[in-house]
Amino acid sequence: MKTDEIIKAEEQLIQYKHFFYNSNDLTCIANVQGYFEIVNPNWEKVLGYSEKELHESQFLNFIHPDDIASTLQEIEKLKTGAVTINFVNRYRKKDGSYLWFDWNSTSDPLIGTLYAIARDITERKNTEEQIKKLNVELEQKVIERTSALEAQNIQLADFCNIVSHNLRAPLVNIAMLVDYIEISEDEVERNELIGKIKPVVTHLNEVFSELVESVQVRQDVEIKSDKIIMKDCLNDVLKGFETQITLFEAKLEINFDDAAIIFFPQKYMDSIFTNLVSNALKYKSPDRKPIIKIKTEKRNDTVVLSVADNGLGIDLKLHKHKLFKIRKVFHEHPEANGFGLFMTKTQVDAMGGKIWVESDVDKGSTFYVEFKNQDK
Amino acid sequence: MKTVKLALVDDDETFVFLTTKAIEQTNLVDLIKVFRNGLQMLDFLKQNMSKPELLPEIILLDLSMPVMDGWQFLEEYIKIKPKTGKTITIYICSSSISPDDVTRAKAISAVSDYIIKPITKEKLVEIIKTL
Repeated sequence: MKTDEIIKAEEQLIQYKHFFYNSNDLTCIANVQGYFEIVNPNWEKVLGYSEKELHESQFLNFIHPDDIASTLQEIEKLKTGAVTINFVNRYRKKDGSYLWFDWNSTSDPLIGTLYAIARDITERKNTEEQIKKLNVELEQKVIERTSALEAQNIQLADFCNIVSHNLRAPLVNIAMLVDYIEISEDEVERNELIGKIKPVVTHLNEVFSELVESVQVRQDVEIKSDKIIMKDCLNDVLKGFETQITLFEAKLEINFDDAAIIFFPQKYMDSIFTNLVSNALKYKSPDRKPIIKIKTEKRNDTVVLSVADNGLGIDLKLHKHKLFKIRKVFHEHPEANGFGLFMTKTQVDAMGGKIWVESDVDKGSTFYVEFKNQDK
Repeated sequence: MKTVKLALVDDDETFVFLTTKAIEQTNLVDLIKVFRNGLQMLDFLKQNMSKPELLPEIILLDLSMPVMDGWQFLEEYIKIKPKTGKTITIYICSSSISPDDVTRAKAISAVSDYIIKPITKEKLVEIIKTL
């Protein structure tokens, strides 16, 4: 005989079963031994296993290896009567792929039963991952763009300085000379003043040509790299310095064993060799005969060319920031004109390379040029 | 009237030639000394620190020079200024019209003013009269 209470309880049970079986989530009752006791049909639908398969195996076997430890820990907590809210792990589908489940569970510690509801949050997770990935990519792009803009800004500031100083200085001189010539009443003085115009114009012309050339180098993004045999290229350049080399009794040590060939525009390489060799000879020490060591060194996919001299050296503490700027000279040398390094840097920059210097006053300087993408 | 000595620190020969002419024409300066860069000027100041009668009243300082430029000279000058037995009025005299240079110069207390080249006779007279 069923008492009214029992009948009522059974009715309630049937009512609750509706929620259990019809839920959009994956509901289950499991035991602390690690087996499912009851699962709703969603398990089959979502994971692709038959109900039998789900019951036969310990549920840990369905969990992603990386999530087993955290899942076991969560079950330990449940056993003590704690409640699980939003615990996340991965379940393996029958096809081998994994789904992300978000768990809410309670337990009955006395009889060792777990009551658990899992929600498939794979789509959300994937979206999150994608957003994260996009964010990282975006950040990377912002960093790249920012540094490109910064570089452009520096170039622009340099250009502004060149125009406002290097071009303006000779113009001011010409204007002043003309003013004086106009008011001068003395024939001798007039002629003296007229004679001073020409060197200023020549100087203005030089700065102007240099500037135009540097702009052309920057704009010539299409320039092709040539296959350069370093030894031949250097020998051609050295022909122009033969007189000086003999006169100064300069000794050259050349070693291109590590990288005999470089891919770079031929005319830029000519200019790099010309400038670096010319500097090494020009700024020689009066106390010793010049020794110039020129070599290449392979570093991953780049090649570093170095030109080392035993000359005057440069006080980098004083001059480092303007070493590669136009029209900057650091020695009281009659032939110092401040063109070479500016042009060399412009050409190296344009090809994505790098140029830098190490130097000790009265010991010598070593210029380094790094050529990119040489692993052809 | 006291004597006025002026130092021109500039490596531009044409500018030095013309400005020296303009200074002479003011008839207000007794001695013009030319230094080719900041280091030459600095060395002169250091050597004559205790002889104020040899030090200039006015320095016209270019910015872009070899060996030691105008900025580097000012940095060094500030260090020796307290030991210098004379108030020296320094004007930067540069062809640069870059606002960056002007702002930077105005921020240095040892600099009285920034003059953009060319410097006229009238401006020179004004400078000397305000001494």
